[in-house]
Amino acid sequence: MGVNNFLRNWSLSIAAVVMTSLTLTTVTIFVILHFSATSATQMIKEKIDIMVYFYDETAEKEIQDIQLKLSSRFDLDSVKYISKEGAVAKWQSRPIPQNIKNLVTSEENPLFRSLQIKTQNQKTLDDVVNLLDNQTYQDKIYKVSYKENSDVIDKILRLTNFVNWAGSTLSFIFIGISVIVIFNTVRLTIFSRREEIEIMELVGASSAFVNLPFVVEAIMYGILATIISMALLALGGKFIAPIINDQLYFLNINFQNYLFDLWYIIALLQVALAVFITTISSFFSTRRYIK
Amino acid sequence: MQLIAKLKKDAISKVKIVGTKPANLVEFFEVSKNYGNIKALCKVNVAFRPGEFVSIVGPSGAGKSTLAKLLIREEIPSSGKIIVAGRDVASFNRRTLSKYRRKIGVVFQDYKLLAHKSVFENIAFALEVCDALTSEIRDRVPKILNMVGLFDRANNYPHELSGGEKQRVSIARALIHSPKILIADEPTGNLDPKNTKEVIDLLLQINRSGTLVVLATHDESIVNQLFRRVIKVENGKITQDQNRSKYF
Repeated sequence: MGVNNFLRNWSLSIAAVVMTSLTLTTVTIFVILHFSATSATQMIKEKIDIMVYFYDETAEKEIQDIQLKLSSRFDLDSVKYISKEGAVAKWQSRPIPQNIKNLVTSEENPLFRSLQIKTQNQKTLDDVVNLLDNQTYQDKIYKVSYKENSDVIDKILRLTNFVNWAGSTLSFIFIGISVIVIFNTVRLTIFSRREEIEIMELVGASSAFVNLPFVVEAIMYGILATIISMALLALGGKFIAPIINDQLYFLNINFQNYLFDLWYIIALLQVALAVFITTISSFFSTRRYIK
Repeated sequence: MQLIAKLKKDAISKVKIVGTKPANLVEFFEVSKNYGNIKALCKVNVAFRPGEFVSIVGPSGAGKSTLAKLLIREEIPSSGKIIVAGRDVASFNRRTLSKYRRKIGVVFQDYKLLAHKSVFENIAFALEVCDALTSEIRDRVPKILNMVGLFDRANNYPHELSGGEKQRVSIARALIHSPKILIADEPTGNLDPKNTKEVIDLLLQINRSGTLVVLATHDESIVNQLFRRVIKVENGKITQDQNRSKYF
């Protein structure tokens, strides 16, 4: 009978399925973006470090002295020396287009030797920057990158916070709309079958017998919506994710991998959400309109 | 002397047989029902015994249908209590209510048949909703159809039946659970005299098998021919409660 309900009001059923699949897709994309943003934020926090670039003329011993001096501080997590060769290797390992990678090779290496200084403490970084600003080091140090990066880092952090906020707001709105659409679709089905329901109740049908077809109908919306949503995400993963990966390479995140490696978690999430939306909607609709 | 003694003995035996009154199956205690400012029923006190045939007569709006609705718990009394087989009807939860309704047959003026189901399916529906086995349905429905004289109409649809036949289908569905109480709310309202008589005869037949029949009707001419208990309702109150049974 639930299947009959679905087919009888096929136009309404399609609307409910489309709305629910839109909700599922939006929520899934938000969840992926959330995890991506969290991962990027974590990566950025790890990159809240200072890179001290040295002139090619600066002697190795002078760099080692500076490294030793900084390493003796207890408030720094690490002070790591990166040679020119190390810099090239790091460059080649980045998720950037090959044509850009090819600009730097072992034979043509414009990259500087550097010290990578890491800490979790913002104040410590400021102290170290002030220390390196000292006149003593001016002819040895080409650039201290912290100040230039901090603005970018702030912007990225604000962007990720915005993504989280916008994604969750949009998700709640879509979930609310889906609940309402399914609620009304079930309500209309109840209305169109009111005569039959009345007779069912008069002859002593149990609540389960009366309500179950409508719950089945709502769950069908959820199942179909999940299938459509997974199909949309698969298409998105195949065609759109590579483009996003190219554009946002600096985040070092592979959106395609998120989709295809975690598809079973995504499917479970969607099924759970679909069941939640449909059972809530049908429960309130039948409770209100079947007396 | 012997003849007189025999006559006395017969009279005593008759008194013994008919003088025993069974406990009430249905009791209305000070029942009132209001719809907003409208008092549909006002402090009604009445009781029905098992196996009785009771006609409730009155003009439109008198409260007849309200009595019927209260009895099947389609409505809840604004005040007072309705006791059926020792239980307060208003206290039923949904589960108990569905079980209760399986023990009460109801027949309406508009038949309440499902247009897309055949005669057989309409009656079987009342068993299906109670999770009856297919074998039980196949066994009981034809018997009921035979009882109401519609065995050969089992595969017809409601639109192919006359008014009287539709009402008999409705009665058959009401009887499928062998109810103790059958409530007929204006069952002959849409019928011509011939079909009216057929339906009333069927109700009497059902009553003879021991079912309490409560017939609500505005047509006093029907009731006057029955010689059964008659309750007159006017403006939500019982104005007369008379047992016209010659067997009383």
